[in-house]
Amino acid sequence: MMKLRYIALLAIALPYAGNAGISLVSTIDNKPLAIPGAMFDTPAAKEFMSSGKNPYLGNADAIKTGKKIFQMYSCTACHGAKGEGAVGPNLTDDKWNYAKNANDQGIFETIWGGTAGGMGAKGAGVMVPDDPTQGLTPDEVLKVVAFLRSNAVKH
Amino acid sequence: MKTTTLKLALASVLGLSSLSSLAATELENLMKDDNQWAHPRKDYANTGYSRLSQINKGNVRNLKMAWSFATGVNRGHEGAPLVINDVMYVHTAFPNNVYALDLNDNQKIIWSYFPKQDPSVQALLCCDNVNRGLGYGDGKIFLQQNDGMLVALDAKSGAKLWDVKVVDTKTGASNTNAPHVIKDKVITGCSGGEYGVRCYISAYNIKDGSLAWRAYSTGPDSEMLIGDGFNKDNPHYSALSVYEDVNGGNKEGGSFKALSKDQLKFPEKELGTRTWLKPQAIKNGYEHGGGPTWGWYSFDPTLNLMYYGTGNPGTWNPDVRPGDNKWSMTIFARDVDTGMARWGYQMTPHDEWDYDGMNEIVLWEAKGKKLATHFDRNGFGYTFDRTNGTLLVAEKMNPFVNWATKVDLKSGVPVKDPKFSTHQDYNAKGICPSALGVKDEQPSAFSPKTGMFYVPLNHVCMTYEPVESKYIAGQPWVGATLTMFAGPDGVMGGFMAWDGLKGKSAWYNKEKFSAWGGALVTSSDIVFYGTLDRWFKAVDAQTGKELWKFQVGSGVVGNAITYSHKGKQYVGVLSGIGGWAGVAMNLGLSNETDGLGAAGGYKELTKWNAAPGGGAMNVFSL
Repeated sequence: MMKLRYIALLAIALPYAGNAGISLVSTIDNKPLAIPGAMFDTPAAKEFMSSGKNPYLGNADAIKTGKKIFQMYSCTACHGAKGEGAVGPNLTDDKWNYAKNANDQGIFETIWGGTAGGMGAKGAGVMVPDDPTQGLTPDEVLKVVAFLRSNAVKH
Repeated sequence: MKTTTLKLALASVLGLSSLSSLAATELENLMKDDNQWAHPRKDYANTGYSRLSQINKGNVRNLKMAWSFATGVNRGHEGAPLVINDVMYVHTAFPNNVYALDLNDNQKIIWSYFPKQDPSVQALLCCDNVNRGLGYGDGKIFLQQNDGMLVALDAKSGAKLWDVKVVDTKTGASNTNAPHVIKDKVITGCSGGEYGVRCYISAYNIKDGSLAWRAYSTGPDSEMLIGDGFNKDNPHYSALSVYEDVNGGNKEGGSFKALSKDQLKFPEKELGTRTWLKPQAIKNGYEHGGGPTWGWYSFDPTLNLMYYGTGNPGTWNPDVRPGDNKWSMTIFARDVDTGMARWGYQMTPHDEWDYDGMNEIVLWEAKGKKLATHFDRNGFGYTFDRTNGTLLVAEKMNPFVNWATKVDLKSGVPVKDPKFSTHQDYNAKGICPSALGVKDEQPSAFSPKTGMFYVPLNHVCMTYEPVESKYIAGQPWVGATLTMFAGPDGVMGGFMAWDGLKGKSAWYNKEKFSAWGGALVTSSDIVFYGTLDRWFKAVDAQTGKELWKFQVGSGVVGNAITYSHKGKQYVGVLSGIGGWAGVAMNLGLSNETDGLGAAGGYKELTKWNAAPGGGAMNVFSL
């Protein structure tokens, strides 16, 4: 249901201009990530787009949902049950292949648009380019990040 | 697709296969010549056995490194090179480079081949960037690239003669297996059990790369090349369901009670679709049913049958695919000319643990019987009458195996222990073995002289929590999270000699880490294998006593081989830590808090290896 609404929005929305808040760039080539502004349709997503901060950090409900999404999309296959790393990198320590992943905006960009190192884009409309019904919404990405941050091992 | 397969199968029946019998003879002669190592496991029977005996128990302690060759590629180097007429053909992990080394001229490179593969294929390789080696026949070296391309190279010049796309990476499929030349065909598999790929095995004509036949692991009988006479002597292998649900079956608290042979209803047809009961996670579960075929294929020329195993059903969450999920987790015997299945036995019906059934099947004879032995990931060592699939022996390879109490020889059905049944959102604990299996792809060896199998082993248990996951083409579709820890011995590996008739080990050595290198046994009763802590070892085939060892540059996940050159015997092995073992070990490195019982053991691997492991071929002689 949710997803159908996004397709409709995709058709009419212009790419988010970014002048009202942060500008998102691809981890692959540093070019702007064209995400329709209308996809930022929850208070948390709107807040993120204006401040670059993830309001879900520490939010128990969001963390729980984030865990479900992390499993649903088989992120666990490469990154392990908690993001501790398996065939893909550990996401719970302080070593990052892309330094910007340490901050809220950077890790959002990496999940949304993917990397040149083997991780595919997970954002709605870019995960499966010819099927915009697939992929995570901005709000879902923020929840996944909240889940990962809750598993971070302190150093 | 359906009609094409049928037509091709029919064409094969009508005698397309007579074309290159000469080439097959050349390879078969090379297999008989112990100076060569011309086939992935040396011979059609997959024995890993050589009659070379210059290196014997009296002098093996004098083995010295003769030469080594760094492959220039990092990560897991599984498989082994081929040695044909004084040339060694070395393959590497991704990007799957190939080097032909002139043994007559100080291992000078005669030619090399550098495939151009899209680097994104690496993301599809679940368990490291491995490639298990090359095939040879008809003057061609065959390379099965990770990206699905099967390539035929001129063995003399390295020139590409033909190539063909075996699997489509867009669906999440890839390849890691060694292509096996059997008669006038090259057989190759499919990886992608963690991507919901509907896998198959394919036979291509070695002359021109045209498809001879293709047999799916799931789906309609016509596409699986199952026809009349299938399981003729063991019709109960073709039962619709071998379990009855206890406490609702596929939900937390539920489990599965094995039916006895007289309770089974058989024979049934179309089990590749009908054992995927509703409701499935997706409309027709078999369409994304997995059954990958990335192992080692064996062949009996007298029966004209080839043998291989199929892997896990997709997804790892068993609750969303009720039913036996045939023909995943199955050993198949197929006519190599037509692909038609003679018999098929499912080892782990309705898998709940990812006990991929793709390990090698070794062919041997005893007491006048034609036998086949298979050491499964599920922890049972099986011996069959290979003419018809009759199950003769099915015993636990190690007493720590706990998911089943036994295999009922009459019905062939494993008796599952309800305590270790896995269900969605329930974290099942203490399951042994782990998904790595008591043994994974690292092939065993068989000596007709001692009558024993020599088997590299894992000794790892796990927790397993199935979770809801979504199928999206080309994306991982795993559906379970698991953690692994050392088994009750307190170590993570072992190596044993196994009596295939008694179903008992003759000797058993503990290994600190999983023994992830394939075994070689020689007629001088010496067994060679490598370890993750970088040792390449020779042990006494009768007792398991260590006779010699040498430490190489990185952990060994490759298979030991032997050959001779100018009258001198050499033994060799690829080093370069990786594979699922190396990757899984890495998993524990920084996570002592995760309750991985073996965190200490895994962690110690970094004290023995630089990461990522550098690939090299290591060759020894007296």
